[in-house]
Amino acid sequence: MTLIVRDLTVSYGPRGVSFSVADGETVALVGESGSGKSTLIRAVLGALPRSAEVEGAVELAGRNLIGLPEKELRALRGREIGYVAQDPFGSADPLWTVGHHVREAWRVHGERPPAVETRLKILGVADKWLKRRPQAWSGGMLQRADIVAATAHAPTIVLADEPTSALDAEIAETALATLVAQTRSLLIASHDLALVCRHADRVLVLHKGELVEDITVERGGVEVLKARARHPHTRALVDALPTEAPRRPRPTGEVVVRLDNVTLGYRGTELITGLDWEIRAGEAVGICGPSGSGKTTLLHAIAGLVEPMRGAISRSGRVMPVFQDATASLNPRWPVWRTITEPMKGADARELMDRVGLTGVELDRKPAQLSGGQRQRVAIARALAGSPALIIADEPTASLDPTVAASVAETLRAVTDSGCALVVVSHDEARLNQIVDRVHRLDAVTSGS
Amino acid sequence: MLTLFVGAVVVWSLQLVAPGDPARRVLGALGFANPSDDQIAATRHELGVDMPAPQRFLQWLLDAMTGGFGTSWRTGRPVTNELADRLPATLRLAAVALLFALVLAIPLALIAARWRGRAPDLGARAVMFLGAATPSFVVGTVVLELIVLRGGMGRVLADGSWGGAVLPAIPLALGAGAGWARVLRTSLVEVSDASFIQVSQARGATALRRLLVHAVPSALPALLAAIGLTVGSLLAGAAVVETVFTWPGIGRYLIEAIGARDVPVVQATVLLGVLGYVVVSTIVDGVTIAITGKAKR
Repeated sequence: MTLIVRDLTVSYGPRGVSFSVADGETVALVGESGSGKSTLIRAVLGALPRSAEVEGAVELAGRNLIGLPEKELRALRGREIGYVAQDPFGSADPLWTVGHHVREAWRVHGERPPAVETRLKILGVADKWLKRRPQAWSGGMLQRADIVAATAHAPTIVLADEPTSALDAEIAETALATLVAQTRSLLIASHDLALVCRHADRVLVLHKGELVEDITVERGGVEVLKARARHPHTRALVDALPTEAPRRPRPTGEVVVRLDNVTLGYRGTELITGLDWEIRAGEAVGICGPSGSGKTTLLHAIAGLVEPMRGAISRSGRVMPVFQDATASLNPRWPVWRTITEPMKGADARELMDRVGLTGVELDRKPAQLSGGQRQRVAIARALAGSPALIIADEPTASLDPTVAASVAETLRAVTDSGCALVVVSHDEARLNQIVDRVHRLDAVTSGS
Repeated sequence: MLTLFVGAVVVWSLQLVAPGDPARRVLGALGFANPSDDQIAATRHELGVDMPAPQRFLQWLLDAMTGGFGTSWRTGRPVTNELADRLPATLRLAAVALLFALVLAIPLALIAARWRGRAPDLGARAVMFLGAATPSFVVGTVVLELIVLRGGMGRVLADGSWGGAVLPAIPLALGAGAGWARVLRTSLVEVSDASFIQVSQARGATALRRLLVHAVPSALPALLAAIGLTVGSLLAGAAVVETVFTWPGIGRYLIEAIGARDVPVVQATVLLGVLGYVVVSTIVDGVTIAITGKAKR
């Protein structure tokens, strides 16, 4: 056994968690936010804050890491324990070149870095990039550079905390495949159940700090997990996986937004060229594509927030927005009734709340007293209060846990029942298909990189 | 440039609201206790105060651009000469104080950030708090009392030399340095939570390396901004310290000029201060852009 975690309890996180990772094995930790995935990763890394009380044992190659002095832990980090962080842009110092970032993996241990260029070339990154700062890199490339740095000393085990959640779906797939290929043993925390089931040997399900199930999936995909899941929480996670909504026939009602040969872009770069599009009342459409493909620009053009470079956009009726981050889009000092009735004086807040599935929630609650899903519902109710002809939503479920995202997706889809049109932007096509009837796909824009 | 112009307008307008007749003051300074109306009229014409205000302002601005600030109402000498005599002493004091303040601020902040939340941090923060909270004249007086009078080192009457600048620089550096140390510590602590610092730790970097290689470059712009804001006060706001140490610099000269309502001197000094601010801010912006690689607005 490479890594054995025995009865690990952290004062604010995992409680009595035990599992092991064998040599050459890829193990995934899944669970909702707050389930203790990240804390577990940090505990193995020995990087918990000083205030955390830790009990139990984390054994790496027979040696207990808990209680080891910082000096000895430091010698193990990077050499025996590799680490890949969530956001490749956040994990590279913006003031240094990426070359410096990668070579640091050797320098911190007082070694001369070898030719990192060849290591990066194997993963398909040209060496000219090493002299550039991270902001000039693409997320996928930077994650590969991070993998080179994390596996610099061929560590016994690599820990990865949500290594793909900042990447587009297609890039995430290759990035995770690369990570698995480059590492001996891999412990990966992720909320993307479908993705990790395709790459991991075993899936550990965490729920409120407890390890509730250990399922061998043998990289067989989420179908294997579905067949073997026993614990109710695992079943809930599986059920929350996006399922395609039944396709409804295109409504024949009034046209709410018409785009006529529209070209969009900025600073001379055309993102979308010559688009003709009609959105009708009661219709739910999605816009999907990789980052930088112009999803949000198109949504803003539909709402009238940006002017097209060429062509014309005509609108009838009011447009109301729903944002990704519900917490930031609600005034924290206002009770929900005030937020909801802001677009329209005299709107019936209670009725709107009932419509978005907040029947039991009192009107004088403040956003802080609500859960993330409830906050996003309040935001939807606020959008409905303006009796809009069109609601636009930019990544409305991206910052929600899967189980919550699934039900918010249904609420969103239901707004079209009253004849309101809905345009949703998301990078997650599976989730998008749960909300809308049609998806408009945007291709990646080939820029100078 | 706009800052300079607005500064010039404000500074010059002081003259309009200053009480008393300048001609009487000048004549008084020259020894005419009860000047006749003719003498006053002649002096008014000599000073140019009989012209309409906008014309006077333009005349003054043109003169100022070519380095002329008129004559002091108090001494009758050209203000430019008076300032030129005193500027080197003030710059010398400011340079020594700047050096002292940096020598104080940077290690203090690094110690505090390295052992954040522990005894060295608490100690460093206590020093920062005391340094920022103690008025410079108190520190100056204590320095004079302890080092000069009891210790027998240095002199009470400063001569404006480099060696003489050491003592008056202490109170100046203490106030500015403590403020800078607080700013630097705060931004070091802020950046130490950044993901790239945690990644560096996970690669096996020591706390010292994380601090020096990653945290300090990221925190430098904040320190530079703080320096840009306070270095002007080292230049022009040294008035109190210069007075305590009888330092022959611009600050003390300004205090004297204000006391004597010597408007041309006050105008010239304040304008010089504004110029100093503009120059320092430009340098700070330039260095910040050089570090971060992009202009932040």
